[in-house]
Amino acid sequence: MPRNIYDEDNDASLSMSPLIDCVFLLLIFFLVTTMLKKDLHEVDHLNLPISRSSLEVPPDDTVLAIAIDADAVVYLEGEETSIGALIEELKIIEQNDPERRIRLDTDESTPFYRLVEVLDALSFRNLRNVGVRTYHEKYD
Amino acid sequence: MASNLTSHKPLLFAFLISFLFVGAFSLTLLLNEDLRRYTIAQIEEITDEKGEKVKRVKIEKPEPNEEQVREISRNQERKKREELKKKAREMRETIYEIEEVVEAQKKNLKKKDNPWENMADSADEIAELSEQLQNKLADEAAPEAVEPTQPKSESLQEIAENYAEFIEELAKSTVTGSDAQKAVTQAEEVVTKADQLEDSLRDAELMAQGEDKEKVADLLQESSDLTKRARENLRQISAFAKSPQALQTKVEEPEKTADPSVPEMDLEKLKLDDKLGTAMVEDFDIEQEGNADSPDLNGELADGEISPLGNELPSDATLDALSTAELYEQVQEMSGMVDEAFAEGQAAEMANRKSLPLEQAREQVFKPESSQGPDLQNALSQNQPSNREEFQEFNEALDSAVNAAQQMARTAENRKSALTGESPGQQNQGPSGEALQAALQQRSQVQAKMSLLASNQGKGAGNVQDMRALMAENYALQGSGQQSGEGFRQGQALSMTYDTEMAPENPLPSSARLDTKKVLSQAVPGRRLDIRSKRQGWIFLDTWYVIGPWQRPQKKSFDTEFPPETLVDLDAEYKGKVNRYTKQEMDLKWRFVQTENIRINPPDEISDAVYYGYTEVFCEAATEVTVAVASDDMAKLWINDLVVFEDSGLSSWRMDEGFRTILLKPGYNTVLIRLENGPAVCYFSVLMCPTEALRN
Repeated sequence: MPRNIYDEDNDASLSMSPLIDCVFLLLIFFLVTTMLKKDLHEVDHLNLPISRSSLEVPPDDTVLAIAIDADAVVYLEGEETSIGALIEELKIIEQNDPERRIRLDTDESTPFYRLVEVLDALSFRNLRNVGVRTYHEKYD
Repeated sequence: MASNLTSHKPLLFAFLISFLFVGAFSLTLLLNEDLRRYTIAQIEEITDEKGEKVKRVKIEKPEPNEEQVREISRNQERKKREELKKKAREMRETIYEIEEVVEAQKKNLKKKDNPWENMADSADEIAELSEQLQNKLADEAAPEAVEPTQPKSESLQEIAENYAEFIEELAKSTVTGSDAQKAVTQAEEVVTKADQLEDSLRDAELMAQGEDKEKVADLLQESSDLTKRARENLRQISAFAKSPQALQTKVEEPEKTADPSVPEMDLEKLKLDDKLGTAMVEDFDIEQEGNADSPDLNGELADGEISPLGNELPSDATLDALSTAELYEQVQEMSGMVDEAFAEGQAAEMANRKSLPLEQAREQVFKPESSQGPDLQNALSQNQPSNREEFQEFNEALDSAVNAAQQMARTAENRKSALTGESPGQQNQGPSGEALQAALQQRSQVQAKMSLLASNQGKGAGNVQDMRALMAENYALQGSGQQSGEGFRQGQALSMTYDTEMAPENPLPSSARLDTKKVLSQAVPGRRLDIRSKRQGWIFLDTWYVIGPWQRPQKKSFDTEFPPETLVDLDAEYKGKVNRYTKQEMDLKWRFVQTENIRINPPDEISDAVYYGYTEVFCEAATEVTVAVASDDMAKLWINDLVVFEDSGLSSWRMDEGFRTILLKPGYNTVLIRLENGPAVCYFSVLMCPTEALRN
């Protein structure tokens, strides 16, 4: 008769280590797969133009968001502003951080003259790190 | 026999039962939506912006209790209050500095109220003009025909100089009746000599032939301008010599005395019955009020500083004691003070420049009103929120108060720089008191000299005027000798005591011509000048903000000053010329104009109107440039608030109307042009070119 191994082991218990392993694995899984959406200082009512050639750029905290809506109103970091104030702000940015990334959000039907005006202001202030934001099905 | 522990049956049963339970529960959840709703999460149905009903998981947040809300809001308020206080302190400094400048300007104005000073200025001008004319006549390049006029010109110059010196003496000392009479006699002599010179130049013009004829005609034009001025001066001085205010006792200079109010009181008594003095007397009233408010003249009061203009500025202790709502109100109030002080400063400057009484200048000057931010008094005073919604409202109010305060502080800083010519954010301790006054006076003298050079009247087409030295002097006065250009990156400071490249053996040509076709085809658009660039040659300014039309002044060009001359605010809106059809004043806004064409045509051009164009030019280092301004019809150009070119008269567009060699600061330079349109079309163009290129 085989020797019963359980006979002598009267206080049997569950080992905690695999359980903790599992919990950690789960935690790591969620940490890795969770995407937190950053505050992009978006303007809600913008209808971004669709582009298939756009590239996904990793979000960046330092990016300066300038938006122009369909009524040619300019927004800076999601807040409505005026051209004079924008130019003032660009002056300060040029002094502090001329390499700062700038994101230009425009509506499909933003008047082109206003876009040129803003681009010209940026270029005159020597702010060249400018990107235009578009809508891409894959990324958005 | 299997013991309880070795048997697998109970385990199997347990598995089975739990599997059944979980399976049944999952199935119920899958099939029954209601159960899902109440077990895993609450799903609520809401209507979105588009009017569609959407189901969404409702997330329950624990509602903080009143104590917690209060605690959070107190913390938040403390943080924001600090920021507000900081802005308030900044604004206080700015106001103090602005008012110091205004005060100095006003003192200069009072000095000028000694009418003999005005006379001396105009005598100086005549002496200068006659010297210029004499230099031109003595120049080797001058046509032969004018040689016989030289002795006359020499004697005119001598007499004009003597006359200027004499009047200068009079301005400083006691004037008796005979002195005044002597001055009139001398003025008469100047007129006679100027007449004689003009006559002989007229003879010379008749004798001259070919190209010379044109040159002599130009000289003759200058000479007749000079005669006109001399006559005008004679008329003024003879009228003035008869008036009682001409006879004055020696007035002590205010800065030499310990107590400034004493000589002013003397002056006041002296001139009470004098018409010219009325504006001044009112000034004294203001000053006395100011003094009454401030027992301590240095303004170093424990609770509340008194600014030079008599405004009470809050001390640090006062700011600490204020509630957030009151602090915000204080900032708004200070923003109003900035506007007032700025308008006063502009009025004093205008009075100085145009020799107007201060009262009249006050009426004429444009008074910009800066935005005072939203009214947040109610929202800010509710600083005891009891639930989340109330806290959110309060927090939003705090945020917008800080933003508004920041905006106001920035506007105040800009106003200061517009008034003093210093770059915004410049932290150097500017001169104060007498030094400031002297600097301002010197600046206005330099500016007066510049406007003489700027005027294109009586100077032939293609004339070249050298303004580099004057501009360098002006920049040095603005920046106390050591500043970097406006908005320029740190670490590239440049001493503005500019050591000029103007070599005496290589002077500028006195006139130049432009090949219009060639320039039209070759000039490149741009606003950034780089000496090292491979592309040399003419650059035209292609990007402008343009505003207009305003009604053109009927009597004299450039006479009425419109808001952009006081302050360029690209967000401002003004009322312009009356529309011929709707009979209503037009709404004016700055408009962005960028063109490939050298000639810029203001949008909505109409006849008999005034337009302004504003732009900026960038250069890496201090750069000497030659500017060619052309306009149809009249134009006046300011660079860094200095008049550089002024062309009156209904002339058509011609690229080489006149050249001005100027000095640009490193960094950004502001360019403002005023364009007046008579009948028909209206254009302007501003071309720039490094001076070297002009010689070739």
